[in-house]
Amino acid sequence: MAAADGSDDLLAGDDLLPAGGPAPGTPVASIEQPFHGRGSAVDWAVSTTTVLAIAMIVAALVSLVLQRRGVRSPLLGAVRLIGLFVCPLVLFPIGNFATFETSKRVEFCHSCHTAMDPYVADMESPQSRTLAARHFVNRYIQDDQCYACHADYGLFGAAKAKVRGLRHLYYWIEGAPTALGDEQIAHYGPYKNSLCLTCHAGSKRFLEVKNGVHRDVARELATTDPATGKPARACLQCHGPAHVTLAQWKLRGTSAPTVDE
Amino acid sequence: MTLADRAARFLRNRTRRRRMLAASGVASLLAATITLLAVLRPGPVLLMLFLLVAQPAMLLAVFLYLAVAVTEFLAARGVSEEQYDGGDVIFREGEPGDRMYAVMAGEVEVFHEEPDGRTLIVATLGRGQYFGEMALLSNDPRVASTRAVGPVRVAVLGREDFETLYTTLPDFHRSIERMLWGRRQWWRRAAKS
Repeated sequence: MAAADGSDDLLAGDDLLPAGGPAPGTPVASIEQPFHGRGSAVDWAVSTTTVLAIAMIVAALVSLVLQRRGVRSPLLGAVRLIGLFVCPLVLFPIGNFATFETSKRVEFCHSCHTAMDPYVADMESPQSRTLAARHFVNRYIQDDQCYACHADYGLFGAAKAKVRGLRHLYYWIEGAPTALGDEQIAHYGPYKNSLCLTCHAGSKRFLEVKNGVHRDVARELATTDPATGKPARACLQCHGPAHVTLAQWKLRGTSAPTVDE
Repeated sequence: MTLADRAARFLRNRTRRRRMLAASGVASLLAATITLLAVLRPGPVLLMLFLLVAQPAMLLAVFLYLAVAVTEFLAARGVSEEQYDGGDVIFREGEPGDRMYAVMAGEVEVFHEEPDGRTLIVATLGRGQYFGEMALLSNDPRVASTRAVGPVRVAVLGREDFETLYTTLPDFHRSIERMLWGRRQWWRRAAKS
C-alpha cells in the first residue's frame, strides 16, 4: 500500500532513488532482486499449489494407467484417494487464493501486451514524473501497484475488479481498439479520491505539508457530486497526471517517456 | 422408482463405476494442469480457464470419486447385491453359512436332497422374503440348498452386519423370529407326512 510520505512535494520523489541508480529507461525491478523478501502468504500459496498440482497430475496419470491395465491393489486405492479426492479438495481453496493473488501483480495486468505497454513502461521508468511512476519507483506501493489504485478497497472491491477484468479479457479476445492500444481506454467514471485517501489521509505529512493545505480543502476532497460521482476537488487536479496518455506515448515513440507535466 | 433408487441402481454396475473413476481421473488431470499453468504463468486466459474449467473439474473429480467410494464402501461393509441366472445354486446344504439373503426380484427355490437322490422342494421364496439366516443363528452348516428359479436379484448381508442388526433392531429381530417359527412348523408338518 502507499506510504503516506509521497502525497505532496512532487520533486522529492526522485530524491529517494539511490545515487548511481539504474540507467535511464531501466525498469526499477532490475535492482529489486537482491532485496526481495520471501515467505509471504502468496509465496507459500503458489509453492503449495505447484506441489499439489504436480502430485495430482502424477496420481491421476498413475490411476488411469493402472486402471487401464486392470491392476487391483491397495496401492491403486491409495493413489486414487490422494489424486482424486485429497489433492483436489486441498487445491481448491489454496489454488483459488494463489491464482487470485498472482492476478493482482503488475505482470498480470501487463500480460494484455500492447494495450498496457505505455502505462507499465511509463510507470517503471525512473525518469517519468507521472503519479503512477512516482509511486512505483519510490516503492510507495510495495506490490500489486496497478491493483492498489484501480481496485476499490473493502470487501467487494476485489470482486468488482475481477468482474471488470473478465470484461477486459473479453474485449482483448474480441480485439477491441482499446485493448490493442489503438484507442485511449475510456474511464469508467471520475477517479475516486477515497482510493488515494485510504493511504494518505491522516498522515502527518499529508496534514502539515504546505501550511496544511489539505486541511483547507478537506471538505472539498470528501464531497462528491451525487449526479456525476465527481469529487468537488479531485486529488489529480493538483497531483496528476496519473499516467502517460496514449497521445504522449505515440509522440515519443516506443522509448520510455520522460514526461514532466 | 425414486431418484435415489435410480442412482443406486446406476452405481451398482461395476463397469459404470470404473468409467466414473476414469472420468474423475481425467477431470483431476485437466484441473491440475490448468491450475499449475495459471500460477506459474499468470495471465488472463489461464485465469479464465482456471475459473471456468479447472474449478468445476476439481469439484467433479471429487464428486465422482466420492460417489464410487461410498458405494464400494457400503457394498463391502453392509448390504451388497448379487444377481443369479435361472438354475444357479446360491448355496448348498452342508456348506458353512456366513451370509443371509433377501430376495429383491425373481424367485428362489429352497430344496433338500434325499439320500436316495430325490429332491424335495421345501419352499419357493419371492420378493421381500429372507433365506440363509438359520446358519447364522445356529452356527451350523446350511440345512438346505437354494437355487434361482429364473433371473434373481438378492441383497446379501454378512454375519457381522446381520448380528449387529439382529441385536439392535427390534423389528428386524421380530421378523426373523416369526420366519423361524414358520419354518419350524413347516419342518414338523413335513416330518409327520
